[in-house]
Amino acid sequence: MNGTTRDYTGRQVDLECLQTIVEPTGVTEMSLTATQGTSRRVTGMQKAIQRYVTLLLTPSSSVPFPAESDNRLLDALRAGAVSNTGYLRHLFNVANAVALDIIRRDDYNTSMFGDQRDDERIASVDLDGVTVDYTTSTLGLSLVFRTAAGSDYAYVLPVSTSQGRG
Amino acid sequence: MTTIAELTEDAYSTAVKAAVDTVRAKHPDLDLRSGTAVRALVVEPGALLDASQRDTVNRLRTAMSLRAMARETTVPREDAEAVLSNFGIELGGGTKATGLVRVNLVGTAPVTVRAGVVFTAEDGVRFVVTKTTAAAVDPAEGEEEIRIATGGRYYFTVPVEAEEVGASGNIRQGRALECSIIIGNYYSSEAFSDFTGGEDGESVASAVARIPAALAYRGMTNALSVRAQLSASLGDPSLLRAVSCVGHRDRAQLRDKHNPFGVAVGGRVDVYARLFDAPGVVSFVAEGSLVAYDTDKGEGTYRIVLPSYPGFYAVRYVGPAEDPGRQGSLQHSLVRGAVQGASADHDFVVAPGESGSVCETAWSAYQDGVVTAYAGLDYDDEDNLLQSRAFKVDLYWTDGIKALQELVDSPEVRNVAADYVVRSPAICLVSMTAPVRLKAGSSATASELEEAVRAYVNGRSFTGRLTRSELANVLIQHGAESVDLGDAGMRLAGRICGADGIWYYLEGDALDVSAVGPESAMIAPGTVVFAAEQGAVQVSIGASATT
Repeated sequence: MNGTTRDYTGRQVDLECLQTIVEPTGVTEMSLTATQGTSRRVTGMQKAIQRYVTLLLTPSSSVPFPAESDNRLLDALRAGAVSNTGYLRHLFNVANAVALDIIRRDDYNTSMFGDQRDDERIASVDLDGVTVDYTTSTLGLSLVFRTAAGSDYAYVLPVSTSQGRG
Repeated sequence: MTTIAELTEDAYSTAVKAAVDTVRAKHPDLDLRSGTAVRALVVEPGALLDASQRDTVNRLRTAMSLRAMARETTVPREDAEAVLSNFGIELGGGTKATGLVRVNLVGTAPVTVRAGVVFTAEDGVRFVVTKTTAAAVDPAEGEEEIRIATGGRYYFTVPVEAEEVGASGNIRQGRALECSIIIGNYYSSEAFSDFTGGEDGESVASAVARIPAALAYRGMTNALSVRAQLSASLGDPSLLRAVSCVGHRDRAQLRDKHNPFGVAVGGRVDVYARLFDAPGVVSFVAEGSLVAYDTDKGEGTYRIVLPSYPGFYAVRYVGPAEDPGRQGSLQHSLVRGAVQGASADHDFVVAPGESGSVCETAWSAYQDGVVTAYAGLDYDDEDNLLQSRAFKVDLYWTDGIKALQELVDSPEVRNVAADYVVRSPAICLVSMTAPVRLKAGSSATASELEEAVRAYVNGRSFTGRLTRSELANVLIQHGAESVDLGDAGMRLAGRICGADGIWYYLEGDALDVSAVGPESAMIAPGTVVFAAEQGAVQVSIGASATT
C-alpha cells in the first residue's frame, strides 16, 4: 500500500477495496469496480462510506453473523422482486437500519477498536431518490450521508440488478 | 471439526474480539470495525477458523472429560461410550416400548398396514409397526378382525414398537397417535392399551459413578476391586447382585488357619458372589451305587456321586427317579433320608467332599458332590438285587462360580500375594407367613404382597440380619394397613446349610446370621445371603379397613 486518498494523519486506516471514492462536489456517482493494481490506504469519510456500502450491499443470507439482521435489499433487487419504489424504500430502510446499527455498535466500542473522529462517523443516511438505467440494468440510489460532525455528502450508489455484479 | 453452521454467535463474537485484539496489538492504526476491508479479509476469516477450532477443542474436552460428560446432557452417546470403554464400562442400553395401536375406521373394507409404517404421538415419540397386519371383518388365518366400535365406527389393532429406546414410549391407553400413511376408511388411531417395556438407557452420570469401581478392578486388592473385576467379566454388571470378601481375621475365613498353630496368617481370600435373586435350582437324575444293604429290612445304602455343578450350595431334594420302564420295581423305593456326615433327621446335604476339607472346597468350583441315601432295595424281574438305582436330585445351584474362579486364577488378574477362592453364598432360605389387613381402597392381592416380600428378601446383600419389622414395612408399602405381629401373627423363619453339611435353623423377630452355627460351618454375615423360594412367603388378607 502506498499513499492515501487524503492525508488524515493519525487516523485509523482501511484497505481501499473499491475504486477511489472521491470527495464529492455536488452529487458524485461512486464506482464500485474493484481496485486494480496498486492498493491504497483509505481513511476519513471515504473509509466510512466504504464501510457503509459494504454493509448495505451484504445480504444477511451471505454471512453467518449477525444472525438477527434482515438485509434482503440486494437479494430482492437481483431477484426482480422489487416492483415499486415504495417497496424499494422499505427494503432500503431495513438494510440501512441494519448497516447503521452495526456501524454504531462498533463506532462506540472504542475500548475494542480505538477512537474515531466525528467526521468519519456516519450519523444518518437518507435515500433521496432512485433512478433506473435500463440500458445497463443499474439502479441509482441517491444517498445523503450526514456525519456526526454535521457535514452532508451526496452520492449516487449504482446497484446492478443483474446477477453476479454489485 | 465444527462447521460454520454449527457455531454460535457468542462463540464467533468471542473469536472476533480475540482476533481484533491480536491484530491491533501490532497494528493499532488499522480500522477493524465491521464493514472495513481489513476486517473482512483478516479478522472475520480468522475468527471463523478460530471459533471453529475452539469449539472443536471444547467438544473434544467434553468428549474426554468424565466430569463434563456427567454434567452435560447433550453429550453424544457414542462419545460417552468411547471414553467409558477405557474403563471397561458400557452404558446400559435401555429398551423400546411395545404395544398395540387401535386404528379406528369408518367402514369395514379390508385394510392392510405394512411393517414399518409409523404412528406418531403428539410429543413426537414415534412407533413403528412391527408386523404387516391385514384386517377384515371375516379374517383369514393370520389376519386381524375388524371389530365394531361405538358410534358407527370400527377398529382393529396393529403391533408397534417405539422407534427409540426410553420410557417416553410407555404411553397410556387412549393416547392419540397420528398415522404416517393413508389407510382406507381411516378415522383415527390411539394406543389400544398401556404401552410397556420402554426403559431409558443408563445416564452418563450413572455410568461415571461406576468408574471408581472400574478403576479399582485393575488390581484385586480390596472388596471394591474384586467386585469390579468380577462384574466386568460377566459382561452384564447386573448379573452380580452382591459380593462379599472374607479375608484375614474374618470369622468365616478358615483357610488361612491351616498351619501347626491354627492361627490366621492371611493370604487367603474367599469371594462370595451372589448371582441370583431367588435361589436357582437344577434337577437331574443320578445313579446311586449300592454300598451296603439289609435284606431283612429291604433297605440299602446308596452312594450318589453328583455330576459337576460347580459352586452348588446344597442338596434340595433326593427322591426316587421316575422310570416308566421299571415302574413295578420301585414300589419299595421310598427314600428314608440320611446323608453322609449328618444325622438321619436332617435333609439331604452334600458330604464334605472327597478332594479337600470343608473350608477349602465348600460352595466352590472344587466341591465334590456325594450323597448317601438310604432307600428301598431294587430287584430286577428275576428277583436279583440290583447294584444301583436312579435317584432324582435337586440342587441349589446357579451357574457362574466356575467362570469367576477361572477369572481370579487367570494370570492377568491373579493376585500374586493371596489365594482367592470364589464361592456361592450360603443361602438362608427364608419362609414367612403373615396375616395382614389392607388399606381402605387398596387393590393389592395376596400374591402381589408375597411377590413384594420375595423381591425384597431376594434383593438383599450380605446383611447378616433380616427382621420382621423390615418385612412388615414392605407389606405396608405395598398396600397393607397393618400386619399382625402378635403370637398368632407374622412368623419368620430361615434355615442355612453350613459348610459342615448341617442345616441350621433360625426363627423369631429377626434372623440373625451371626448367632448361628459353629465356626466350622462358615456361617457369618459375610458368607450368607437371604433368599425366598416361590411359595415360601404366604400372606393372608383379612378384612379391609372401612372407607
